[in-house]
Amino acid sequence: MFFLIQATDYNRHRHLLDQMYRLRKRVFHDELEWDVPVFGDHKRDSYDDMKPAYLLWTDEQKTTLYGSLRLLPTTGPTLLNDVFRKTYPKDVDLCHPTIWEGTRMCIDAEEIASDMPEIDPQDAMCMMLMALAECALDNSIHTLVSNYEPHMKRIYNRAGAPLNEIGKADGFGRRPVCCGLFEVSRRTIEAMREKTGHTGIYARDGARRPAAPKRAWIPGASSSERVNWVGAA
Amino acid sequence: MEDKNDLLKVAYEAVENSGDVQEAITRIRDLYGLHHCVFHLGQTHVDTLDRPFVKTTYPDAWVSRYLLKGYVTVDPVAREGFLRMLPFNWQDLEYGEEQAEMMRDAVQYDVGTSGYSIPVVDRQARRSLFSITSTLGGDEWKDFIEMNGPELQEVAHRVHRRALEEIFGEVDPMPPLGPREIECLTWTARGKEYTVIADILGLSGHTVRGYLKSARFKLECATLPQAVAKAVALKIITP
Repeated sequence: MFFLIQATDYNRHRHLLDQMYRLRKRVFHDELEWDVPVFGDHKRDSYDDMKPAYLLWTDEQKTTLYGSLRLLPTTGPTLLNDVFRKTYPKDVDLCHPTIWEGTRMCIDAEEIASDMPEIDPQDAMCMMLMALAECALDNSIHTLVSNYEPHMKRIYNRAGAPLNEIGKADGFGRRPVCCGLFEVSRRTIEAMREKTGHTGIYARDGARRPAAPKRAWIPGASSSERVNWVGAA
Repeated sequence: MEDKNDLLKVAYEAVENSGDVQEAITRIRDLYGLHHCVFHLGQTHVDTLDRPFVKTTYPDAWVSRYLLKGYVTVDPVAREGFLRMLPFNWQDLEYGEEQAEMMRDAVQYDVGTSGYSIPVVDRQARRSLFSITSTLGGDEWKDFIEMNGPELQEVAHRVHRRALEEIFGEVDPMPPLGPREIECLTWTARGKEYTVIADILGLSGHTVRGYLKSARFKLECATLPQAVAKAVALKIITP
């Protein structure tokens, strides 16, 4: 399931946040070789102290993390504005309560392959984007500013997610890092739903809902249940 | 659409022209037909205040009751409000026995039956919480928030800056406009719609709207014509 956790729920999901920091270290430091701060096997930066909201993808028991992303409002300090200021044009510096920054998006391809072999990594990324769009719409977020490596453009495309590239910079990792605006509206979500076949995968009350009894969650197989997640909220 | 814009314009003016934050939130309450408004500036290590900065339109009887009963340590809105980043409905809060009792008490004291809070964070990482209450419930309340929520988020930021001004006598400038924001605003000044601007600049219409929203917000204006006028006056753009 996909759900948001805010600082009110950090403690009860401490184990998921720990998994997230380790996953981010593996993905951004070890694999992509981004120049990012690392503490031991954790990847944390000062923006994690800003009480961000995290979009998490976990199993129904909320014990295994499959993916994560960090959300911060552009009215406050943001990673993209502060860290990328030197190399990006000033165009990245948007500021409005309905424009949010989504960074550190990553998935745990190994956990996904072992628990849900029918989902390939590209599909998994598409699902993250779908959940992100649904979660943003649910919270009146109009635009997401995100950074990504060039190959991610194909994934956005595959998910039917409208992405407008507004900047590109070298020197952060092996490949250039791009910055783009991701539009969120009912219209774009409809288009994404049509293209991906996923719908209603974001669970508004996920962080505080009691964990489901242990059983495998097969996406697509239990659509009625997934509709209820949204209906229940 | 025009009417909606006008409401935000009047709201900006109400905050701007009020003598203090107390008057500002009272006028916002009346303007949006709310039951009550509360503004609470968070303590940060950057700014230390002698006492908490809280302004409210609640009845005096409730404020006294709140202090007398020590609700400050119970209040789920205050507890969660400074931890959350996203706006929230009070019905989504976590209620223990004490919290439920306090909320029942609040209804008795005419606080309202529905509540919604907007966390504010600025570039200096200062936080505040702007809360509204209503006697609307169910779908009516849901519709009200869906329609006015994004606008009220802007209002919350206006009140936040107004409060900083009131406390410290001045407030740090908003972030400067970026090149794209300036371009989009310049074309707006020349009478182009956002779809036309999108064609001219090779951007999507949504991206242009995003830049214009951001430019307007940075210029602290409720409408685009006002933002254009201000940008011209500040010599940021030449139409």
